[in-house]
Amino acid sequence: MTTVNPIVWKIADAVLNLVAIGFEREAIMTEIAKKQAEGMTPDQIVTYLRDMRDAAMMESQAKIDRLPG
Amino acid sequence: MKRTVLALWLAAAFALLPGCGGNGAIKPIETIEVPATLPAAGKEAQKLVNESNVLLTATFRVIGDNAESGVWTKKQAQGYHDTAERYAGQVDEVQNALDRGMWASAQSQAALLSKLIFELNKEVAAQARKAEK
Repeated sequence: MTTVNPIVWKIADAVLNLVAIGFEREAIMTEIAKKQAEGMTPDQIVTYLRDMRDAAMMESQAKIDRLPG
Repeated sequence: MKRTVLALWLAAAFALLPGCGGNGAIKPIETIEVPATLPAAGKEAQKLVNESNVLLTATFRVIGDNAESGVWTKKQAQGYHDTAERYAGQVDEVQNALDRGMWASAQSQAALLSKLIFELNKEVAAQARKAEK
């Protein structure tokens, strides 16, 4: 099997992370656009965004906690 | 193995093309409505708070995914998570200032905070897999 230069992996990781954040952001924006179209008020969106952020924060911590070490 | 690497590069190149979604991390948010009753400074602050929360949500999701998939060490992931959590608390403080009508203060704090969150976002994106020893 061909050995891939670690530098290539590092660059690929960085590009994939950037793409992943971009996709996540697009998904959130799509969700908000849908909520706006459904009639959610700007004040409700403020709360909705904060709740969504807090849910993502708790999920991130839970995934980290499951790691050994 | 070479095909996998090529596929990654092609996916990344496609995603970074304009209009293909992958370059969303650097586009400003303009479509989230803010309360019309706010004064100009308040609207600007609320816009920045909303943008910050969107970016933090995306960042938390990527941190969690990178931790879960083993791309990062626990220490790496926890470090970024803690920074993002601290910024989230500061965003809430700005929102509280907004809710109390402290428009100018909220605007200046939100502007600084959104820059810090954007920098964290770039740092998380640039963070590659754990060093192998």
